[in-house]
This record gives sequence, structure tokens and C-alpha cells, in this order.
Amino acid sequence: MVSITPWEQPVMPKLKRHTIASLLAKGVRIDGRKLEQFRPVDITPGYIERAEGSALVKIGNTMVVAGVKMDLAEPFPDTPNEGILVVNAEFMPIASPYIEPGPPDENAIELARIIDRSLREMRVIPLDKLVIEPGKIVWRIYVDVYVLNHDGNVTDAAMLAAMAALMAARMPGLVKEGDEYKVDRTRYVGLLPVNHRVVSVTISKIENRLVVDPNYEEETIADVRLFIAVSEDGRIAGLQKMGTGALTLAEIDKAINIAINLSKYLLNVLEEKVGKYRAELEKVFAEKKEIVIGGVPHTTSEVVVEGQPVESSVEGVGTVAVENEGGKSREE
Amino acid sequence: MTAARLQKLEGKIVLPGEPLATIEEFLPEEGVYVDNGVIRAAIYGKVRIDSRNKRIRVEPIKATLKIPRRGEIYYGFVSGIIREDLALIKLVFDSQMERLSGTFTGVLHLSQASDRRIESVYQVIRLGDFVRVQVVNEHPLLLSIKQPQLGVVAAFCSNCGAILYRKPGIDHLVCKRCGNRELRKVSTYYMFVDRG
Amino acid sequence: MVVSGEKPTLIRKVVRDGKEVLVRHDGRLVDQMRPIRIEVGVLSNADGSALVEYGGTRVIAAVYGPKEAMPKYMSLPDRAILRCRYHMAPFSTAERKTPALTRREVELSKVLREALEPVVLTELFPRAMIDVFVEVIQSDGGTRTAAITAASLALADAGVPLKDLVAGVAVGKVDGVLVLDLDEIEDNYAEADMPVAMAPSLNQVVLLQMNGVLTLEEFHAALQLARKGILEIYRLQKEALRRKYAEVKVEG
Repeated sequence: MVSITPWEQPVMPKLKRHTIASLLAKGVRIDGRKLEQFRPVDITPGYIERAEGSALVKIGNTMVVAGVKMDLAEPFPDTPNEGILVVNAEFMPIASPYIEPGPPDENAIELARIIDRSLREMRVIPLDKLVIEPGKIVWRIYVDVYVLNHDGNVTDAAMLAAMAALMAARMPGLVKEGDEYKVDRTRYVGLLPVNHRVVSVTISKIENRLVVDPNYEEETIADVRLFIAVSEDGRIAGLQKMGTGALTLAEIDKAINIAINLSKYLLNVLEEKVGKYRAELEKVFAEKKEIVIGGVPHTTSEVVVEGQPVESSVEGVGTVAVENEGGKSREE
Repeated sequence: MTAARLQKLEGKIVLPGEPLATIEEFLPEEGVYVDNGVIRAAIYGKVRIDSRNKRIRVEPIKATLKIPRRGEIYYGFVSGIIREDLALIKLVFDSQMERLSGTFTGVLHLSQASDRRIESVYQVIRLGDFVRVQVVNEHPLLLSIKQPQLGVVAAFCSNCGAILYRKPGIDHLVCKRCGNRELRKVSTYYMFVDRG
Repeated sequence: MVVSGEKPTLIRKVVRDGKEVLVRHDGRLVDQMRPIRIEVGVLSNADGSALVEYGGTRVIAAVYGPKEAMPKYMSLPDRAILRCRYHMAPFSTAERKTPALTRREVELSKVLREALEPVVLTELFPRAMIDVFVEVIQSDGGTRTAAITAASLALADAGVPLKDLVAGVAVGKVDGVLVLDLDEIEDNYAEADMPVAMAPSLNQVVLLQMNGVLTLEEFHAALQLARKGILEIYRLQKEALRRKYAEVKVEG
């Protein structure tokens, strides 16, 4: 597969370019925001109860959900003392009229990889703590990022969702049967260790102005975008220049300053919404050591007449009353 | 049908599948369908009854589907000129500049391209032009740019690709970047006007 | 789940309010559905969308179109074509699912499309195409029936003319007893699992599958049980659409 200049682009924003640019010159955005202002950011941790960790992130109308799943795997030969982290991202066809169903395209793969690098290089997840038997078996952490509605700035929403999902992730139980290890999906036994918090602020350049969190129209006419991942201690954890344009050194400096400033805002939201959630979970694990899920939790408050499976019968549905709603049916 | 029931029906919010009346009572129009002699709602909307002409329809509550219908105005791009007398236009927005669900490709014939006599569609449009068109036929989708408010609303320079400007009092469109001048069938809605 | 090979007891006889009743592993009665939540118009980009939850099962459906069929040869002169995709997110299941389409998803995409074909008034849009995409965000049994419920709502939300909404629910035989709206555990151990979807106002079945074995008597009872559930879901669907309308009216 080769990478080709995007030739079929949504056209309306191009025509609005003048309007958008002249507004930017006055320091105003097309939706009334300031240049360095995010749309409302909301995070729902634990959105997918069945995943080990998950989060739904909304930035304006942009919606991204991330889920963390864990299983056991053989470590890579060159890192026998480390667990495995896999980041995957997809733009769902439900997210935009411009997304066709199919395998991840170059944008989805790029998105997955920039998130992966920002998490990996900061050692956000201490992979060395995920080893069960060195060289033989380790935990494998999957982070799947799904874009549900694309209204611009998917990168920051996706990064935030991935980070939040990891922070909300619980470790499933582990059982050893003979020589074999198995995941016990009926209980969680603790939190996934998370060393750092990393968020990203992607800066877009539109007509020589730097803006954050572009909506879809703005993003379409941006000449260049710079993805900047920032850790909670103010270090740069990842960079990626995207788009057909270029940046001057001064612009890059300015962009990084903006990113470091605004990262504090995103980190605050993350702490408020997910940090507290994680602390609550931590408390539960400290008290109970484990959280039991699934299985067959039978209601215990009721008197069980027969513990054994009941006789085969169709009597259970004898009382079904069928009313016909919405007019006459065909047969009648 | 009793007058009371009829009165209750008018303006009622209905959902797909809901039985409204029989074909003996009304002539079904938009937003309804007939199943076994029963007129039912096909969309969610308000029942509208024309009791004089015995017609019934359901008026959509949300914006209607954006499917090109005869007489409607759309915006689109010239996506191909297949012959001297035929151009293809990809419709992308409705008259309110609202995005369509997808695109629809229509055909513009020389005879619908100008109220003057012209030899080639190249005299009125070029590839990539943004045009305001009217639907003259649905199947096949035929378009017209004859009227003054129809035609090119944004054009790009054939030489350098920059936006072309309309200058009051000048027939041609002018490129500010390379000075090129080009002819188009310009709509009164043309977006880029240079008054300076 | 840890596969221990031992089948848990899923239905028990208990005394509830002085009466002996059959109760399922999660406390439901045999003819009781899980809590159902429906929300219409959840995605800003789609022409129509809906989120549907059956207990722990959560799906989002989106509709784009009707639009020009692409590529152009993929069109019919007398009607619109439907393009459906049923897909499960990797994190939706107990074990991570591969993001690529599985054979199961390919089959269900077809089953979903063929459940919608009878109700969509495709003849109104010759040469056009209507996209219906369903994403299973979380799976706990009954995803295909939740998918069809959501898909028909998304179509209605998009304003696509429909003969009727479609509502679906699974019935099955668990521990020898017919039950409504199976969750994943019940589904795993069911002797039979039968998803059904209907256009309720027209009293027509548009989706019917069965995995397992039932006697003729059981089948009839199962279908009646499904119909009962479907009518209840149908009521909730209509309620959700009306609620959406109320919001629009306030905004306008």
C-alpha cells in the first residue's frame, strides 16, 4: 500500500476558508471559540462494563470510545521480561459520511501508532510488572480505540480515551492449572498499574494561525497539524507532524508552549473524571482484595425450593397474554 | 369516517406502521403507504388531511430526506465534462448549503446551460467549478443553470487554481494571482466579488 | 469465563410472594426481559442514529442516505439498495474479539439486511443506496436482535419511509424451560436459542433463526413469547421516537 495525497476532500470548508481565516485574524473561531480554547470535554470511565478498562470521551460532538482487554501471551523474544501493549484504532463507518467500511486505513494506523508511542516511551504502563514467567508468559494489554462520531480533533479525543481506559482498567484473576496459566474472568484482583498520565494537544495551523481542538471544518482546511503528547510532569512524550503543510521553528516552539499549557486543563479533567474513579476502585480492592463478576449470582434472599434443574416444560409461558397493538393484523 | 375521527387525525403525530385510514376514505400522498387497503404512516411526522380533495399525507417532523426532486435547487461541483455538450455535476449541498447524505451526480446538457446560444459547455463552466443548479428531471437526474440565480458560484483559475473574482461591470472573472481572465455563466449568488 | 466444563443451574423454583415461580440466574422471571434503554439521534454526523441497550448488551446504529449508489453499477433501476454492516468492537466481548469481520459478523450483516428489506420502502429511491451500520459496543447476548431494533430506529430517525418499525428479541430453552431475552450465560448453555424480529403493526416476521432443537409445541409457545417481548420493545421504540420529537419541538 502506498500513501497518496488525499484527493477527494470535503469541499465546503475550502470555500469557507476565507470566512474562517478572516475570523481567525480577529482571534475568533467559526463557532465563537478563542484560538486556544477546547470545546467541552467529557469523560465517562467504565463505559464498557465488560471490558477490563474503558472510557467514552466527548470533545464537542466528537465521540471516541476506548476499551482495554487483557489476555496471556508469550513475550517477544527480545523483551522476555516485559508484558505486551497493543494499541489499535479504527474510524467506524457510523462516525462520518466520509468513512467507508473496511480495514483500518493509513489515518487509523497512524492514530494507533502515535498513541502507542506516547504511552510506550513514557512507560505509562510498567510492562515489567506484567510478567508472569519471564520468557514464557506475560500479560498482553490491548487498547482498542473506536471513533464513533468524527467532528474534528479525533487525535486528542483518542489519546484521552486510551489514557482514561488504561487508568480505569482492572486486572482479571489468574489461575494455574497444572503447568498452564488461564485468565479467570469471573473476578478482578487489582488495578492495572499506571505510572504516568499522558494527554495530547494537537495544534492546527490554519492560514498561519495556531488553533487547538479544530472542529471538522477547521480541520479540513488546516495546512498542518502537530500532535504533541505531554506528561503530567510537563515533559513531551510524543510528537507527530501531520498534514500537507510545514511549520517554522518559531511556530513549533509556540505550539509546544500552548500544548504544555493546555495539557494542564486536560489533565485536570482526567483527574476529576477518571482519577477519582480509579481511587474509588483502589479503595474497593484494598478492602475486598477482589471484585467478583459474571458467574451465576443467584438471588439468595429467596427460598430455593429445588436446587436441581427443573423438569422440562413449557408451562413457564402459560401466562403470556398477547395483546395486539397498532391496529388489525393481517390474519384478522 | 366520522367527522370526529377525522378531526382527531389531522395534525396527529404518527410513527411508521401506524394505520391512518382506508383507501376508500382518502387518496394516499407523501409519507404514507397502502397495505391491504389500509393507509399507514411511513415516516414519523404529522398527519395532514386535505378534506376537500380527500387526500392524506404525513409531513416529516425532522428535515426531509435530501433526495434531488424536480424544481429543487442544489449546489454541486462540475465533476466531468464528457462531451462538448454534456457535463457531469456532483451535487453535495441543498439550497440551504446543508450537506446531503451522500452525493448525487446529475447531467447538465448544453441546452440547459445558457439562455444564449453557445457551442460548448466550456463556454459556461469548467471542471471543478462550484455551481448552483436546478433539478429539471429526476430519473435520469437532469440539471439546469439557465436562470440568472443559477450557474457558477465559485470558480477556480484554469492556469493556477486560485479563486476567480467577479468585478462589477466586467463580464469575465478575474484571477488575482496570475491575472488570467475567464468566462463563465455566473450566478447572481457568486461568492467572491472584488469591489476594490 | 473460566471454562470448568460444568453447567451451572440457570433456572430454579423459588417462593416469591408466597407463590412458587421459576426464576432465572439473574432473578428474572422466564417471560421477563432485561431493562431496555433506547435513545434516538445519538450521533451528530449520521442522518439517523439510535442507541439500544438490552441489559448489558449495547449497540449503536447509524444510517447514511439515501444517497447515490457507489460504485454506480451497484444500483437497481427500480429501487434503492441497502448496505448493512453488523460489527462488534474488540472490547465488547469477554475475550477480545479480532477487529476484522468474522464469518459470524458477515452472516449477521446479511440477516440484518434481509430483516430490513421487507420494511424499507426502497422503491421510492431508485438507483440510490442506504447505508445501515451497527456497532456492538458491548455484548451480553441478544446483540443481533438489539441491532435490528436499533437499525429500524435509525432509519426512522433519518426519515427513511418504513412500512413499520422492526423490533427483535431472542427466545430460548434453558434448563428445559422457555425463556425470553437470553443473556450470554443463558445463551451459552441453552438447548435452543431463537432470535425473532417482527414488524409488529403488520404482524410479520422479518428475522427468524434458531440454533438448537425445539418440539413443535415448544416452537409455537416460543414464538408467542417472542411476540410478547417484541410488542413491549415496539412500545419503547415508539416512546423513544416521540421523546426525540418533543426535544425537536422545544429547540424549534
